[in-house]
Amino acid sequence: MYAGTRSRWLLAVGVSAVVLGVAGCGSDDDEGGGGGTATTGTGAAAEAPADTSFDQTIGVLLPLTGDLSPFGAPGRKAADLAVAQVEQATRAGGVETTVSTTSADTESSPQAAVQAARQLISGGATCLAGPWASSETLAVAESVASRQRTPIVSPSSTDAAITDLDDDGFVWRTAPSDNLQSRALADTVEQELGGTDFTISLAARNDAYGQGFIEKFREAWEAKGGRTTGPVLYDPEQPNYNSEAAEIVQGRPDAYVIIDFFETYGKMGASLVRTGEFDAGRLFTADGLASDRIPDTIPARALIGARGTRPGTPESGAVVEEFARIYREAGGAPRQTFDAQNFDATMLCYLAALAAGSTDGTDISEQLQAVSAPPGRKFTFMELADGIRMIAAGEEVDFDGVTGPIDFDANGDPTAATYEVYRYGPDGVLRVERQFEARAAE
Amino acid sequence: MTPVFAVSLDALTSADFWIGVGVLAGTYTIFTLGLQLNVGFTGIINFGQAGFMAIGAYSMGILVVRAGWSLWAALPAATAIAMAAGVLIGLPSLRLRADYFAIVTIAFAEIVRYVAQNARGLTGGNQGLLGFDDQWLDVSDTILGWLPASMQDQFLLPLLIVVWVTVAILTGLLMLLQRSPWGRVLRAIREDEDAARALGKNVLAYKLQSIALAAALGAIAGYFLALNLSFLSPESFEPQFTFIGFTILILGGLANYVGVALGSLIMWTLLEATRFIDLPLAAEKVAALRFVIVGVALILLVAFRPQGLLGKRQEMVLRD
Repeated sequence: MYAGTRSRWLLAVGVSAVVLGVAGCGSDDDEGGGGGTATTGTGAAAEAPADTSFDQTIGVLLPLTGDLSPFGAPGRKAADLAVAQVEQATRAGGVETTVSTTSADTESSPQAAVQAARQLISGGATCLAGPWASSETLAVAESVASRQRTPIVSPSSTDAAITDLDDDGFVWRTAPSDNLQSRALADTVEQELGGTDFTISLAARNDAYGQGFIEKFREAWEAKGGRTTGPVLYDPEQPNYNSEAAEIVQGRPDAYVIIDFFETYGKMGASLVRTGEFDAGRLFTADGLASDRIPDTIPARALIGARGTRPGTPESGAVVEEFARIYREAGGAPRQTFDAQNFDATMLCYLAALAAGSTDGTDISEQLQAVSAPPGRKFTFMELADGIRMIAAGEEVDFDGVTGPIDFDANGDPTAATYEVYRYGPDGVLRVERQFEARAAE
Repeated sequence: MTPVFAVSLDALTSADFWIGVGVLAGTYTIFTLGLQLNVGFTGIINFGQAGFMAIGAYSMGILVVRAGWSLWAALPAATAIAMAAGVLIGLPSLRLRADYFAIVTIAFAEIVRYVAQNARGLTGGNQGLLGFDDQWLDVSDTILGWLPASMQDQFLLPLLIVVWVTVAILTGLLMLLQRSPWGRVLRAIREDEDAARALGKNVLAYKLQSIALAAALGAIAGYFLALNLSFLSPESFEPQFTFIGFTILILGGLANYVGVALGSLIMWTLLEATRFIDLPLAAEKVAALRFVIVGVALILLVAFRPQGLLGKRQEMVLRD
């Protein structure tokens, strides 16, 4: 008995030592990123009109753990960059506001996202950038945003169901609805194949993103007169996809459309290659499988030559390059899809508060459409100081984000979006072939 | 080199924090009461509790949203459906040995989740189910109206009150039931099934009743989960849910109903309070470390008190 207690003590000491060791090592390679609830305060400037002085806390909901964890750190960094830009511009623009961010982990789960959102709001946040997964956004929209009268601006929830949500105008997103992207992808496939008289084999991961997207694509493709087989919906948790892969390649379709994330596609891609019939040159996909180069976890033959669309950044270029530059110079996390959307989301939280002259959630919500859409003078974050001066002077403005014109409609969706058509070269590097703008159907 | 380890205590003293933790802890208490009845008192390993929860929550949601029922009629109906599912899954599988039964129940819970994911016409699939809680929100506002003015902005308070009143009633009922002859037969089955059978007890019938009651408790927990999120999606019913329930069960102590509430409160305080840990690390590292810390705390608790906080050692060690 005595010996037993002692060995448990040893275990306890050992375990604590490991934890402290992890924490200790971690602090050496830290790049100054904040902790779970760290607050990044920003300074204020003097000589400003009285109605533009407030202290705003923007809450950032991030999937730091769980399925979507690859998006967490880049998203956090993009939000911090947005606040840093605002900080500089308020000094130059002569307004007396201060902005800070607090972040919380949504664990890629609806329940945790609701907890995280409530925690941020009780910590004083009155506008939330996030959450990321569509299921998280639906839960937070219903049980937090409209009930606590706090706007949420999701950077990445593309589920079409969010458009029709009865949310009293508290739910916004800087990522376009799947309605838009699936039609954009259908247009792209038509152009790339040179017609619609083809049979396309459809497959997607079985979650809100994959299922919603592939259904919309099927509608769009069949409306064009094309034929489809499937869709094969596969559970992201499965260990291998041999039978699903066989079903996808069955009947030698003219092309494939597969909607997935890298995490699952590593397994699906391997199964597809094993069928011996799969040709990645005939694969079309979307934003979930877009990355600067094919990750090591994906068999190269499953993606080399594949084409796809992803929400891009407008062709004008300068804004995009500037964002890429400040992102690179800040060090830390590499670029990731939707990082720029989170930058825009955070920025819009501030601009709407400035236009409202208040940090109240309802007031911010009422201004989000006005600052993002016409009428008004257009400006981007590169002219942020001018934009802030105009808003402070009560002028109408139309903020254009890094990701496009945004132009929120009454449902809180961006009405226009820029898409990039990309292709993975033989060296596994993603190249953007062209860009086009898609507008929501009236 | 010394790690800066700080937990902001302001957050832990705020009412918002404890109301949020309280709602989750109460929901999981009800969920785990069912596991306690099965595992702690009947000796059947039920890994499918998340499945019963899903059946209850989805039946309620579907009856209200698709069939236009009143929420108050849907609640008892959904509970009955969950109980029927419990009997249905128990009938063929309870004849199996404990470990095989455990496998069957986890498979059952996964079947339920897959059905929820793919029966899109009924459940909304991955896009989820919305709009079943309007009647609850009216009641919630009424309860809020009875409370003092200083609490008016705590909109979760009514849910918290209802959850814990339910916990108290259910715990009381289960304790009464456990003292009855029925409860003593359950314990006898747990200790030695053959002996109970030799005394002329219909062991299968008792086990079926135990699993049906657990399914009802799972369904009730499902309603509170649904009312808290206002949204049902298959992701909320992953097997992980059942395992958090088992953790609570072991934390609180086997064969003790009050221990369930205590274990649940400790588990959720740990899980939610670690959100406030502030380390000079990148945000994603802090987020991951959170779960390491929770895991270590659980290891320590089990290492020092293997019978759980309120459990009795004699009840845990079945055959020495």
